[in-house]
Amino acid sequence: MAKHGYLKEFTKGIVKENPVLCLVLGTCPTLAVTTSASNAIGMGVAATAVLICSNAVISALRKVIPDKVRIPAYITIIAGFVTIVQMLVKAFAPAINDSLGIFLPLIVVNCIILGRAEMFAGKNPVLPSILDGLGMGVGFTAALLCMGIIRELLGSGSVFGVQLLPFKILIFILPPGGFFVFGMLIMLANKLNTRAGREVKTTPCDGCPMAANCSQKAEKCGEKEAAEHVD
Amino acid sequence: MLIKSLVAVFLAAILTENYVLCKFLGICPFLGVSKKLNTAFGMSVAVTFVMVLATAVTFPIYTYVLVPAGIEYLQTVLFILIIAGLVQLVEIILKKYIPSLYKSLGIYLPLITTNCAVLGVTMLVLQKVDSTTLYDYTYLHALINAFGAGIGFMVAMVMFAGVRGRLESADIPKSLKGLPITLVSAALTALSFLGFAGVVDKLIPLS
Amino acid sequence: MRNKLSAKAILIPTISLFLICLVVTALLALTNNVTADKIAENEAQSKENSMFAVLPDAAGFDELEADVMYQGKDKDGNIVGYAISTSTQGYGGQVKVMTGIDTDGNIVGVDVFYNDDETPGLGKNTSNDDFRSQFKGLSAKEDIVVSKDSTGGGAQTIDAVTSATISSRAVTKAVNEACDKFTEYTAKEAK
Repeated sequence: MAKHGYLKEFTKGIVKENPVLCLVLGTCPTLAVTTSASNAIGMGVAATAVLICSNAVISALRKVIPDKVRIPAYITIIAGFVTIVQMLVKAFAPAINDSLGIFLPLIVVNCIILGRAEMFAGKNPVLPSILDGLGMGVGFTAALLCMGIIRELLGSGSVFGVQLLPFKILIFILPPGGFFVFGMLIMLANKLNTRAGREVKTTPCDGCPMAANCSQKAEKCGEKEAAEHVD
Repeated sequence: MLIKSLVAVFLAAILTENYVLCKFLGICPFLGVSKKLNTAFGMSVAVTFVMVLATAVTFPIYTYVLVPAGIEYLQTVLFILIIAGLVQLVEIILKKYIPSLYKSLGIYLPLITTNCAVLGVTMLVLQKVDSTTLYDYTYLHALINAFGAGIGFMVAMVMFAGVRGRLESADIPKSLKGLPITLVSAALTALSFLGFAGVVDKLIPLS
Repeated sequence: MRNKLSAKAILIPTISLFLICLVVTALLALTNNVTADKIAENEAQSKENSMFAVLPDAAGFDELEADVMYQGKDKDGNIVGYAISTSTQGYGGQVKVMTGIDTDGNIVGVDVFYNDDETPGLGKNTSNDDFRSQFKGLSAKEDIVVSKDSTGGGAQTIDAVTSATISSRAVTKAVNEACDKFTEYTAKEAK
């Protein structure tokens, strides 16, 4: 692969295939930890670290791991890295550990990480996989930061704890505000994507590792089943 | 006292601590599988089932194996593997012995492994054991909590499926179509759950 | 399907999965070894900071009850008061409070050292000085109430953080528990 190719692996995650805004993955942490900009960065960096490490290891082991136990093996590796990151954060940045709470260990089930393992790292050499992980991680962090800044600015009147607005609209840091801001950001991403002539993903989980048997299938199966019952 | 605290735990898990709308866990299926009422319901039943089963297994393992051995740090790895294994096991058992149930729940089971609500329930309940001071948080409380969390998931899913049903016939601005409008309506649904704040404490005063 | 499942087809995936689990566990044990001390140190440090914050006159602390009650002494070894750590259930989760009480039974300071599960901008504001300083000077011998819950508005009332009554109550309750612990201890000492 040429140098140009490597660069592409890195940049695609940031804009064109942004995991949060375009592939709509990892929605739970996106909504939950973006109550402040600093939380968003903490989560983004932690997930990026896990993503890079797991991508690298999985890609290195891609010929060793038997296909049958692929998913459990990936999950074990990811869970291992998540725990390591969690312990490091606890030891060296305890404040971040306190504010991210349960969402730090829950990086394990963040679809972005398993999704990249299944779709990219399991099929590609180590270096592109690391770049892919880095790009996706940066894209994830950027989207989180975007949400975090908007929600903190409107909800607490501050950004990174610095008071900027004289008023605050509390609802933005409460759960409904999270859904609303996310909806608006996706709308914006869709608009930009349509303008650029790219295909717009309309449902979440399109890039999910379980997409094969995920929501769409469940929905379709449900419909099929319902149809069968009618017959 | 025991019954009272159990009811409080159950109601809190459904209303004030709703895993989807208040804690943002299990958003993927919430957005993905809530288009049709029957699939939303089927998914919720499967989630509830796995949540209770997973808590039933992980809670004693954590309390009686991991803590005494001082290896709490294996929690994440072990729990996710237990959940993944359990889901497989349930699938196989259902397929073999209760095919009718398998037919209605089977398709949802593989999706549940990566549902963060299940892992979230099994992990968050362990923190509650430490923070509950009014009464002893027992194994039974943990199970009731898991069951309540599942029912809460169901309430959110079914409610939301209803909202989305109305959206089908609504005239939506072009750029809002699809996910954006879904999220905006999720915001409104979550808003209604904010009203439950403090309701359980008032209904069932424990102190 | 069945005849395809040779011993090799079963063994290889099992063994490789087992090996992966083994390596992951070993790595975790290693990281835990490296970080465990640091984590314990962090926790002890944050608790100590909190103890000095609520009992500024103290130069050092003696443990009376592990993780709960500490006796503060000044440089000359005189008892200046007690720092008591209590926790209650807030709106989103656990709320941990450190209460400093002097030997006369007056509250010297209150520190909310863990409330990260509370709503930012609402319940989290219970750790702001505006709210905490209200406890200063109150008596540890009588229960403190949140003004919303009291009819009279006596000396032992504090104002809740706006729209965060539940979190404010949780902190108040933790302080009351600490006061009870103090009363219990002094009564036992008096005997």
